[in-house]
Amino acid sequence: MSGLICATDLVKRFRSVRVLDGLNLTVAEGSVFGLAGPNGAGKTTTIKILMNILRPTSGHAEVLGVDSRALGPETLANIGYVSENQELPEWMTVEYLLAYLKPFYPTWDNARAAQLIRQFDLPLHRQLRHLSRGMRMKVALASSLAYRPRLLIMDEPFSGLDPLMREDLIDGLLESADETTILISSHDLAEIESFASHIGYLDRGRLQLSEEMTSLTARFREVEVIVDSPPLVPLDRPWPAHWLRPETAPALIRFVETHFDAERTTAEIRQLFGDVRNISASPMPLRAIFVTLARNALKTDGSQAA
Amino acid sequence: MRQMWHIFKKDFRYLRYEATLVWLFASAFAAMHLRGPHDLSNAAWLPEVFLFMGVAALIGRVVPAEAIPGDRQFWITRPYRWKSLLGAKVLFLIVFVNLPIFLAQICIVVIDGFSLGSIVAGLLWSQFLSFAFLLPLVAFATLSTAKPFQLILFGIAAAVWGLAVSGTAAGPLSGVAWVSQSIALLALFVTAISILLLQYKSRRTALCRFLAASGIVLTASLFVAMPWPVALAVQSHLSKQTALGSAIQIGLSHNFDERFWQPQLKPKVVLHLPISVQGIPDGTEVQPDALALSLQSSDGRQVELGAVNCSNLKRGSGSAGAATISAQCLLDPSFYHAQNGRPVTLRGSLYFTLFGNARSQTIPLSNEPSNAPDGLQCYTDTVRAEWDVYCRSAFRWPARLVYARLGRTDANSFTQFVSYSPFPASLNIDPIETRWASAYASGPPPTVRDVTIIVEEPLAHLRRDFHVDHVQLDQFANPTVYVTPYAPLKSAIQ
Repeated sequence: MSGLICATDLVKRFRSVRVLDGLNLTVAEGSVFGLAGPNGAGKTTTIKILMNILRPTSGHAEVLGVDSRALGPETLANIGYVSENQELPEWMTVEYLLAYLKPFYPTWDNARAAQLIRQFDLPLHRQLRHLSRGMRMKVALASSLAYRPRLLIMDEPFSGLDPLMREDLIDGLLESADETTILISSHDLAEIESFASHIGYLDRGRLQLSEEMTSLTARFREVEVIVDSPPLVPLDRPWPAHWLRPETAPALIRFVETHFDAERTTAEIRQLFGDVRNISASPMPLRAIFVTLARNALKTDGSQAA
Repeated sequence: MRQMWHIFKKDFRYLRYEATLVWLFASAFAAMHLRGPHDLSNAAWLPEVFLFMGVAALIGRVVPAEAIPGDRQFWITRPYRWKSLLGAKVLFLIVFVNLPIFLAQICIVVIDGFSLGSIVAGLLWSQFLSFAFLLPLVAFATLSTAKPFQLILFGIAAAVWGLAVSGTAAGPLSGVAWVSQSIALLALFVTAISILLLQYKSRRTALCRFLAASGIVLTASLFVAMPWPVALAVQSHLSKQTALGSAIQIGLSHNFDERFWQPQLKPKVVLHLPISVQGIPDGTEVQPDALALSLQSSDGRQVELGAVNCSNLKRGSGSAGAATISAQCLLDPSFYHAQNGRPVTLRGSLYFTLFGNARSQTIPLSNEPSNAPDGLQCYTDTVRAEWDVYCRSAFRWPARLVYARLGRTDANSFTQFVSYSPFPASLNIDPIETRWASAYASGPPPTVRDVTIIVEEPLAHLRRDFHVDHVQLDQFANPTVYVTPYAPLKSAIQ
């Protein structure tokens, strides 16, 4: 798979604040890439640079093989963009907005537009200013999917929407996922988890992690070890680097294994703790994985600072 | 082209009521002129003001429809071509601002009886001037979407418009005011073009704001502070017959034709200087444009009196080949009192225009306008003042001296200044400029019912330097009038 989005060493400063700090990002063609991270991590800034809304302070980004700073009408005709903050022309009716946008896109598909209108139950004759937030997001998404873009970029599309609206939007997205590469930013990890094929975790202006969802969820496990007697190895001894957030109780040891392999992990546990009564390894939701990563990053920063 | 048209149609749909309103204001503006030439209440200013406000509001809405500043507008992530977007906005401006004004002006001049052929140059130039004035509004509207900014912007625009239009009023050096106005408007136009190209192509708002601020400062500087000798030099350079005044000599006369004074805000000594002009070619007359003086005392102290200090120039009586120009110059009292009774050396430069090639036409003195030379239409108002003659012209008053004469009496000038601008129109929505003069100068009231309109064209714009030794200032400062602001007028005879 080739990268429809490639960002290299992206840096963005707003005055003295360094929002992006050498970001490297690749979004493979055909993927649904979830860009996750806490508020202020730089997700929106990244997306705005990719869409040529902002210019990077340094570094380089390519979207559909074109330098992001040179994104022109030809490239934009193949990109859909939906953002929670986007200002739509509120005086237009839904019908007029779609009719107005149609000539801008040579690949506009009337049948697809009609299907999206039905699917999202869009009120064609109502002005955008009279629509709810969720309905506006649906309009924005419909107007961005009707021309079957090669790439769809979405910035926090689910923010503030009720569950039903989210479900509708996700359904609409999934139907396009086979023909459209999707980059979607969100701090709502539960939503991303349900349909993203790839995941990237952005924190403090850097991509801390980027990999396929299946690989990520497969290698992260919350491990609980029950021992009969206190462990042979003192707990202040350095633990394997891929074990995070270790916690101990008199007969219980708990940690997050970041490179889980049933045989190897079991062997490592037995090597460290001797005979153990029970080992359980539970899959982790995305939210728990990122909380672990974020806390570990904070701890690492704290110890480095010390 | 197709996308430009598409965006234009969208803008029309969005602003159809406002656009229609501008057309209505333009129609009302034209309709006000249907009331005939004798209604001098000139209530046409009302639709003119509404028209200006409507245009300003329209620009303030059509540009932010695809706002440039900001990062949330829907259109910036859509495949807009910047040339199409800019073209659509310009097309909107032309169709809903320039076109209604254009048609209103055509209606007015045609209704007033001017032939289309004679006013086509003025009509087109007027459109260009309007466009050149409105383009900066469009450019500045791209710099912010904040309402207070828009209000300030249109306040500035109204002020600039007022200043530009007031250029047609009499004032010092007003004959050459077109030079600074044209250069200032050009600077503003270039700034606007640069901003529009940068904004629509690259959306560089911060840079463009700096550019706009610089452009405004430059424009204001050129408009207000352009050295008047430069303007006069430009005018002189455009003269056709500079050799015509080769025999003209300037000196200081002691024959006081007329003494006049006007209140000043600061205490000043007023010098009344009769400037004699000799060697005026036959068939021409001198019209003073500016006078600059330098006074040097015997102890080497020197004061300069520029054209602003000597702004009050009047052409006095003259004989064949000679004329006297009465100049009023304001002198610093300290210099005057220090040199009072002592001779000083006076050096001066007189800028003047030679008018000639007089042509005349006698027309009936009636309420109905009759064609006169140089595209003028003249009439009177027998009910109001039967000896007053009104002349009107399309798009600008011609660069001519115009007189009206009744029977064998002296000719009276249409008193306002003459602009020497070579352009066929001035910046004004109203295409008709009307001036008046009394055709009856002195003597018993004539019985004739015809008026002769005489026009003279400018032949040469000249400058002559002169030098007079041993000038006694007290001879020219009598009586001297001090006027202080807010204090009772005091006259002091020195």
